Amino acid sequence: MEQPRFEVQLKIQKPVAEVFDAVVNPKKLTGYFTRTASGPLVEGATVRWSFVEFPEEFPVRVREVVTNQRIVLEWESMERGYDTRVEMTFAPLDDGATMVQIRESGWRPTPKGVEASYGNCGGWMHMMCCMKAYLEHGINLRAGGVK
Amino acid sequence: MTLALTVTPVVQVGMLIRRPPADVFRAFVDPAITTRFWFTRSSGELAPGAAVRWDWEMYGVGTDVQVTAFEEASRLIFEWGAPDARTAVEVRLVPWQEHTYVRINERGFVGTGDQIVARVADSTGGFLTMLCAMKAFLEHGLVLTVVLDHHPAGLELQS
Repeated sequence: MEQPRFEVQLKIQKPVAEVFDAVVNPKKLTGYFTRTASGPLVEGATVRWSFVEFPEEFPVRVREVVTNQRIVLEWESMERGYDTRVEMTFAPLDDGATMVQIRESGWRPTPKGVEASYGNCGGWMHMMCCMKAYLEHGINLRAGGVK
Repeated sequence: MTLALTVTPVVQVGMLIRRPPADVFRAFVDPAITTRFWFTRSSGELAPGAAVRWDWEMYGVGTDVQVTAFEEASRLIFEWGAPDARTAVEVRLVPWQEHTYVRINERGFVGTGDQIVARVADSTGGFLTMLCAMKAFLEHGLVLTVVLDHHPAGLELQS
């Protein structure tokens, strides 16, 4: 059996440059996803994200950034002690919208690793829905989504 | 590497919806509301023991739904899915202040270990999508089109 991994996707009705910027630009990312983000996603950088649900900051190592196409991040598994790898791709569509896909892999093939992968699967799907609400409707759907 | 599943994985997701439990329950039960954020067609309202059909017309898919628990403003359980792969979905509405924390569990997945792990991930993403769309509709009156835009017609992407 393969290691736990998942892929989520969503079409965002905005041009690819705007969608890409909503992920790399901390001013925008904090409008729908993170509570804080210490800086823009730049290849080779380590940024720190925090979330309303968690007291601690999460270091995010930015492995690759191809403008308007691709972002690769690594961060620690919720199982602790090792990293998982997040790959985001941005594809412009004929109608001027953008298809965003997020894949994450690298969990250990253990029940705890599988459970951790589901947490992030839901988390990234939640993130993309909130990004869609933010970019298409100007609202922060994540605010108030958690107690 | 091999993964030994000692416990069959289940879907477990949740979200706070800033509306009273009675309103959130109604949104699941009344297809005139549910079709604004989830399936696009239903054969009828949910009720104790009800058997209905839900369709996602843009995808040409649907499922028979059997309600097995119906507790007003508090809890729903229904079974759905293909005849040989039925799962049970429990929706619990937990009051929080004057709002509702919606907790969804889905269990009963069958298949090989690989299939179950993948199905639980798919369903986890699906319920998160539905909850986001529900929140956008009930709190903001917005139709977020996240279900529609999950798989745009005719779009093929590398996987």
